[in-house]
Parts: sequence; structure tokens; C-alpha cells
Amino acid sequence: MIDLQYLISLFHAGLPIWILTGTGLVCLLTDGLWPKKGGTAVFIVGFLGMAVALFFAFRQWLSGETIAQDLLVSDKATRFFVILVIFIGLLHLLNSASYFRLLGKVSAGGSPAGRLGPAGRLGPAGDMVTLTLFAVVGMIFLFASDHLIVNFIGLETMSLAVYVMVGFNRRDVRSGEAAMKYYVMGSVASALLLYGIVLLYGAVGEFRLSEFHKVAIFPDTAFLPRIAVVLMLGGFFFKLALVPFHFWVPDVYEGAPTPVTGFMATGVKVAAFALFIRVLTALNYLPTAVVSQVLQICVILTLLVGNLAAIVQDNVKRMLAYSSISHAGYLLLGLSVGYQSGKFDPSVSSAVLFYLAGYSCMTLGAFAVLSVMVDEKREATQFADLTGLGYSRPVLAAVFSLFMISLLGVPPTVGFAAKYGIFSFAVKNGFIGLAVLGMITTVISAYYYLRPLVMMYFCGAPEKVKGGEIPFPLMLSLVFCAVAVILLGIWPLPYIDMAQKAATAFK
Amino acid sequence: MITIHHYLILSALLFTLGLLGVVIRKNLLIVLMSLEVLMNAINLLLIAVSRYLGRMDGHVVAFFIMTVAAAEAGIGLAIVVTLFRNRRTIKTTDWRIMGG
Repeated sequence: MIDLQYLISLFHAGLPIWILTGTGLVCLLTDGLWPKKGGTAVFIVGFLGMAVALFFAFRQWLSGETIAQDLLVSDKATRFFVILVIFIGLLHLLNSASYFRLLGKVSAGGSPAGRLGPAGRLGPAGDMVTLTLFAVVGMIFLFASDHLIVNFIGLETMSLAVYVMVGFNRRDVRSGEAAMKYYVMGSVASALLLYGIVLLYGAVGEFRLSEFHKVAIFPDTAFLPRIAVVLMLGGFFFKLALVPFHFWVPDVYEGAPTPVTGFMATGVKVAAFALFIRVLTALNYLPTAVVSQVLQICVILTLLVGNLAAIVQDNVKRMLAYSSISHAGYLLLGLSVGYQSGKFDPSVSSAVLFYLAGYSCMTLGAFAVLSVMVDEKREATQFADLTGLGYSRPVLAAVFSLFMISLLGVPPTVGFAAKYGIFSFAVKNGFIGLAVLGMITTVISAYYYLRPLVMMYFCGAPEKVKGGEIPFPLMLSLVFCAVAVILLGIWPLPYIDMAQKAATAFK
Repeated sequence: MITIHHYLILSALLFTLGLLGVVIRKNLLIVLMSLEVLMNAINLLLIAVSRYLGRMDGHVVAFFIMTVAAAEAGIGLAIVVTLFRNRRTIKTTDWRIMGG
């Protein structure tokens, strides 16, 4: 017997997901039917589909009522993240559309691409749209359920799509190598996480996080959930690129096509943090007192290693990779201060949610700027390539400076508002040491965030004038990111309010 | 008499073997096989545990995990093929261009 009412409510609860999945399938068809268009038709279809999904996600956010349907959770927190993730997907589409256009132009007019160069040797551009859509669907499933196996399948959907995206420059050896590294590391991380989930299932007899408060732990098997939690944390730390498990990040971020790097640094991290908060909240019911210490040690290591290693990089993408590691450290700091006498208090996550939103805007913006930096044979993302950019392409340089300043956390931008939120929670909850460490490392980070500015404005004129045109889609995403960075910085209250509403859903 | 503990230990051993294989072996195909061993260790544990608990949901989940593992292997092989086309080698020692 089919319960029609049930199906209808399920349909409403996951409307953005169904739209995104459908659009992904349509994109596959479109790509097959009009292969000659170079992916333009697919980009338009994918963009529209995402925009519609965003509209419905926003309407769900406004409607307010919580719909929980079996394996699907649609509360305020989920909706907040759905909106954020779809935004990231949209910006990624814009960035990669321009990246392909630039690379196509370069390969058509320039010299024959070198063996290492990505120019003109990408996979079919339309596939990127489909993969993005499916990755976004995976991200949504990653946090829009309280059933750990559904979360895991979402994680895999997302990861599989991103592995392919990383290896998208098919003839570029660096891209392939990055894909392979990311694939092996990501698979091990998934396996660790899954092993933890299954052990937890063995210990408590439940896959559902919302049922954890009902389970009883027997003292003689109390070691099982501990092992399980350690394994799960290992998996999460891999995915979030926190320090003991960060060694793959710089290579993968450098080798991947620039827009994809932006997508990995934001989308994957946002989705994984969303699930992480959910899991931490549920773990309150298990005897896992050491988690808070583990998190704190991890925060300290991540902040130090991320910020110090970023100083010595000579590639902007590598620098941003370490910068994303240290930002993950600040985010984890925001979570680890939520522990009061061994229990995680999810109300601190409002600062983390706001930080995630701000971080996504500024990081995607920075990578959007780097997507334009394409030379004849390669992505021109060395620090030396920035020389004199302030004179040859003043607008681009100004916007890039804005994103760098925001990543550093200087007042009129969102970076400051976000960091202020995290540190004020840390001080309020008595974690003065962590807050001080965060501030010190922020000061250290000034060195590598201001270095691009020095290169662009104070290191003389560029050796040659590079092509000055910025494709329209990229202009759109740059303007959006820049406006968001400033708007969230000078008038953050509505968004902090949104984050607080979302954070109350974790319990 | 084979108890749940035997299965726990066996799957832990398999998992460790898989991890070692990923870390130590230099041939990418062997690395992929080790990843498969990881997934199968998990599946073994899952089946044993859900049988021990006397519940069916673990048995169903095992099929999902198999599907995921198959998809993962597919992607991995595709990446290996593209790598091989470019470099004519699938030894991990041969392609440390980026270093680190």
C-alpha cells in the first residue's frame, strides 16, 4: 500500500534535492544531444536548475515549519546549509564556465599547449556542470539526514564527483596526480569513517543519530564506542583537512583546476562541518569524554602548522591551500569551545555557521580571481605571476586584495566579523588560551595574505601585458563575492540572526 | 564455536592489511585492491554485527556499501587509466611532480 500523503510530504521536504538531481540528469541529456556547443547549453541549463533549487530552498527557509521525513531531516540547520551549498555550487559553475572559456581561447590562439599544460585539453566542459550538480546533491544528503549510512552515501556521492572534477584536465599530469592522491586519501578517509559508523552500530545498535539518547551503554563494552568515535574523527579530520591528516591538501589543491580547488575548499568543507556538528551533538549521549581534548589538540596543531607552512609557499594556490587548512582550524576552534564539562553545547555553532558562510564567499572569490590567471601553457598562479597586476588589471587586483584582506580578518570585511564571533565565544566559555592562540596566528597570517598585495602593487610593472578581458560569468561571481564580503562585514546582524536560528535546530 | 569476537578480530586484521597495502605498495592497481579490502572488511564487520544484534537493517546496508565500493573502484580505475595514458607508468614512485 502506498501512502500518498507520505509521498507528498517527502516530496516537499526534499524539493531542492529532487530539482538538483533532475537538472543533473537533464544536463547529461543536453550534453549528449548538443555536444558541439562546447557546453554552453549545459551551463545554462545547470545554472537555471540551481537557481530554481535555490529559490525553493529559500522558500523552505522562510516557511519555518520543520519537516522530518523518515531518512530526510529538513530543519532550520539543514536549510541553512542547503542554501549555502547551492550558492557555492552556483558560484562554482560561474567560475568554471569562465575558466573553460579562457582556456579554450588560449589554446585556440596561443602556441601548442605544452605537455604539462592544461590548455585546450580539458574533459568535455558539460560534464563539469553535471558533476557539480551531483556533488551538490551529495553534499545535501551528507547533512540532511540523521541516518549515518545515508550521510555516508551522500559523502561518497560528493567525493566521487569531486575526484573526477580534480582530474578534469585530462592531459595535465599534475591534475591526474592530484586526482589520484585525492582519490586514495579520500577513500581511506571514507573507509575510516564507515568503519567507525559500523563499530558504533555494533556498540549501540543504531544508525540514527536521533535515537542515540535512548541507547544504553554497558560498561563492559564501553571501549567499542570509544574506538568507533576515534575512527570517525580520523575520517572527519581527513575530509576537513585538519592537521594530522592534512598532508594531501597542498598537492591536491595545486594540481586541481583552479575553480575546482575553490569548490573543494568551500563546498566539501562546509558540508563536512555540517555533519560534524550533527555528530558531535549526538555523541553527547555516549561516554566520550576525551573528544574535547582531541579537538583542542587538533586546533592548536592546525592553527600553527597551517599558518606557518603557508608562509614559505611560492604558489598562490598552495598558499591558499594552507590558508584553508588554518581556516578549518579556526572553525574547529569555534566548535571545540562548545564543550562544557564534557558535553557539547551546539549553541556555539552559530558563530561557526556564520564563519562558514563568510569563508565560502571570500575563498570562492579568491579562487575566481585565480581562475582568470591562465597563461598559454599553464595556470599562472605563482606569486611571480602577480607582479604588477595592480597596474595591468587594476580591478582584478583590487578585488583580489579585498579577498586577501578579508581572509586575514581586517574590520570592514566579513573575515573580521566571523573571527570576532568565534573568538568572543571562546572567551565567553573560558577558553582564553585558544582565543589568544587564534589571534596570534591571525597576526602571523598577515605575512602571507599581504604578500600578494605587495607583489601586485610594489614590485614594478609586469613583464608582459596579459589579456585584459574578464568573462561575464566570472564578473558576476566576482561582484557577488565582493559585495557579500563587504555586506556581511559591515552589516552582519541579519546573517548572524539566520545562523543563530539555524544553530538552535541542533539538539 | 565462532563468536562475534572472531569476526571483530578478522575484520580488524583485514582493515589493517588494507591500510598497510595502501601505504606501502607502490603499484596503483594494488593500492586500488587494498582499498577494496578496506570496504570488504567493513562489510564483514557489518554483517557479523547485525547478525549478532539480530537486526535486518545492517544486512540491507551491506548492499549499499557494496554499490558504493563498486562505484569507487570504477572511478579509481578511470583515474589510473588517464594517468597511464599520460605517463606510461602506474608506479606511485614515478610521478611525484608536485612533491610532498
